[in-house]
Amino acid sequence: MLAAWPPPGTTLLALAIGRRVADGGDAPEFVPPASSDAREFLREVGFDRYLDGHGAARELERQSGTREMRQMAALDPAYIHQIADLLAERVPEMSETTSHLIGLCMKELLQNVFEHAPEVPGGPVLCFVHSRWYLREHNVRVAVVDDGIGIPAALRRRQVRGLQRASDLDVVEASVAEPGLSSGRGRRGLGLKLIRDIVTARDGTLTVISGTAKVKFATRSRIMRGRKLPQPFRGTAIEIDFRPGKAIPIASEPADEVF
Amino acid sequence: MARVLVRDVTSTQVFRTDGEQLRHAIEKAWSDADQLEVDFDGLRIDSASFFDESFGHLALGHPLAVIRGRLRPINLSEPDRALLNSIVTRRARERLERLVVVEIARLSAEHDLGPIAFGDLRSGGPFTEQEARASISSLEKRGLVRVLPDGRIRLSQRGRVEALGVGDADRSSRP
Repeated sequence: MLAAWPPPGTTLLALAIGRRVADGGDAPEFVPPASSDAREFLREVGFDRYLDGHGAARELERQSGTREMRQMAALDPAYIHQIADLLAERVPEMSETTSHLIGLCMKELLQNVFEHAPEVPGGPVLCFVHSRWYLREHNVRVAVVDDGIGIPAALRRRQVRGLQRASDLDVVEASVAEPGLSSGRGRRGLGLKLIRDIVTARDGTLTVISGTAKVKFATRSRIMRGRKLPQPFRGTAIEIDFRPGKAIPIASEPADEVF
Repeated sequence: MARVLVRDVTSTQVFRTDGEQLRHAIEKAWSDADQLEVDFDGLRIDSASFFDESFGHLALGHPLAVIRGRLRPINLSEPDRALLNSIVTRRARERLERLVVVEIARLSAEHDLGPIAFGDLRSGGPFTEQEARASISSLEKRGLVRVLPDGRIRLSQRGRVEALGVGDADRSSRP
C-alpha cells in the first residue's frame, strides 16, 4: 500500500498548525491500495492529500483544526501525549477526560500494531497516525494505518479456535467483540472492545478495515455494519470518530470506587 | 508504609510487559500486614494495557477486598484513577464469573449435569448472593448458562468448557 518508506525510526510529519512535534522530512508518498473501498476509506480518514501525491497541499475546506501525521516504527508515548494535549488545547469543549481517552485509544491501537510486529515477515511494521478535528461537526477523528499482516492473518496464525475457516469479516468482527482474542501467551486483553465501548458511548464510531473486511461500530445502539471488500487491504486501517463534548466518564460500565 | 515508586520499576508505562514488571514488584512487596503505596508521581499513564497487566491481573487472582486492603495507589491523575478503577472492577467481575461458573459446573456434575437450584449455588460458593446473581446474569448473556423458567440454572456446553478452563488452555497454548 505504502511506498518510499524512509529508514525505520525516521519521523515524517505533515501538519497545518505550524507546530512541529518531530524531526522533519519529506512528506510520505502513498501508492494507493488496489481496493477502491480501501482507497475511499483512506480518503475519508484524512490521507487524501497523500493519496493524491500532494503531501503539503492546502487544508480541506471543511476542515478546521489539527492535522498531524506521523510515521512510526515503534510506539512513542510522548508523541501520543503531544497529540492529546494539542487536541485538548485546540478543540472547544474538549474535557480532560476526553483528551485522556484519545491518548488511551491511540496507545491501545498502536500497541496492537507493534505487539504483532514480530509476526510480519521482513518487518518492521510501519504505521501512520493521523488526528483531526472538525469545528462544524464537533468531532475528533484519529486514524491509525499500518502495513502489517492484518487482523485476519494474525489471528489465523495464532490458530484461534473457530476462526480458521471464518471469513475475514467474521474474524475482524470477533476481534472487536471478544476481548483477548488477539492477545498471546494466555493473556486476555481488552483492546478493541474497550475502544469500541469508549467510542460508542460518546456517540462515536469505530471503523476497521483489514483483509477483505470493513466493519463499522456505530453510535448508541452499537449497530455493527460489516461489508466484504472485493479486494483485500494489506495491513489494518482503524479510525475512531467521536464527539469531544460528551461528558461521559471513562468507564462505559459502572465501576466501583476501588481506589 | 511500604512503597513502590512506579517510575523506578519501569522506564515506560505503556506495554503489557511494563505492567507485568510492576505487578511482579507489587507481588514481592505486598502483604496483609502493611498497605503498599504504589506511587505514580510524575507519570501520566492512560494505558489500559499497563493497568490491566498490573492491577487488573491481580484482581483476577485475588478478592477485591484483598486488593483494596493491600494496595494504595497514590499521585494518580483523576482520569488515570477512573481508568484503573474501571479495569479493576471489570477484572474483579470476571474473577467472580469464573468462580460462579466453576461452582455451577461442580454442582451440576453432582446432579448428573442437570440444572441446579440457585440456593444450592449460594450455599457453596465464595461469593455473596448479589455477586452470584450479577454473575449469572452476565454468564447467561454470554451463553454459558441458561436460567430456566423455574429459576434453576443449567450449564451450557460452552459453560462446561469455560469451567474446565479449556478455553484458557487453548489460548495459552498459542505461540
